[in-house]
Amino acid sequence: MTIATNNISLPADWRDFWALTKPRVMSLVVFTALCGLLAAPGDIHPVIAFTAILCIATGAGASGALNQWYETELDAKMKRTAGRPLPDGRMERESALQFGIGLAAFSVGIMGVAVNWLSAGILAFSIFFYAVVYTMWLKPNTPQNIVIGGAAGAFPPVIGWAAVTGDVTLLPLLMFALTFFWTPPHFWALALFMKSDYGAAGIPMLPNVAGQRVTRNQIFGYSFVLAAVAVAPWALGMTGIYYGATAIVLNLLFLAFAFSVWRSETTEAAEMKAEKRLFAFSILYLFIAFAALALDRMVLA
Amino acid sequence: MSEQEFDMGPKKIGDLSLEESRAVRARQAGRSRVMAVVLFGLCALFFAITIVKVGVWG
Repeated sequence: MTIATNNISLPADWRDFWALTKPRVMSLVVFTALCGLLAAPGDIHPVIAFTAILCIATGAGASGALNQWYETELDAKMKRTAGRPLPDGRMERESALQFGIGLAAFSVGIMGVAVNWLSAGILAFSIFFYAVVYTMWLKPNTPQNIVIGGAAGAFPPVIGWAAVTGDVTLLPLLMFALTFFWTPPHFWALALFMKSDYGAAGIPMLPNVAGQRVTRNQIFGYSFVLAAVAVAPWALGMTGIYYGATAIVLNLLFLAFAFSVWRSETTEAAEMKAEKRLFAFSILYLFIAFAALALDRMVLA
Repeated sequence: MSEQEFDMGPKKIGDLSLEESRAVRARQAGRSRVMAVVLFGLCALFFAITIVKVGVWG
């Protein structure tokens, strides 16, 4: 923001720093991490549990800040992101970099000292994976960016689990796989109706590179893999029937929405109701699936 | 005691106009308040972690 008389730049507002952390993404991260923590066997003191969740949220915030620092020019080209603090000129890029590095160091350090170093190590790797592997390497170079990059968003339940137990077993890996295979249909549904935005920024999202038909086929295909992974914790006896029934219903709905997207031939973003419906449902899907898993495990315990 | 007596800072910052100085100081004050809340929260959290780690709360 500038003031007319001397055209000076104001110092960034605290709300701009908050916006750098991508609070909406952070809420999903916090929720899945909390579910991982609640699903884990064993006890954890509430203060340590709170610290673990705070560190995971802060780590996610650090990833968001570093992502926005690196993608300032790309963000300026997309309508959806042009209003962010950096492309809008409300903040110096250097401030965003320092803020991101500071948050990352703080979150990993406190996690290690207060909780355990395994969870701190996974947290550090997830920040590195999102900020460097996904943002700097995969996203601008391959249409498979969100398939591999989806791993970055899949770590929080594993970190939550490791915070309690100090190890990683099959169930947290299945929780990781659930988010990992959920990411492609979720983001490609968004990419279908935001195709022009991504195209303007030169990001090689699947619909821009391989076309809409291939994207719709991939969304439908990944939905079957997602269904298999989602039902696995119940099928392998790691959760009870409450989660099993919820997973079956959720995945039947997900497949039905994905089928509508697969069948659609619409090319106009404004008419893509099926794609928007799948995108909206996928967010609800993840919240309900993780909540059901955590509640089921707590009932079993 | 009037409000004027507590206003210890300069009215203007460098060559900036009064309006600009006020806007900058308001922005700085907002950030300072948030930092104060964050630091106070961290002090409370570190104290609680320490108490838990030394085993007073089990």
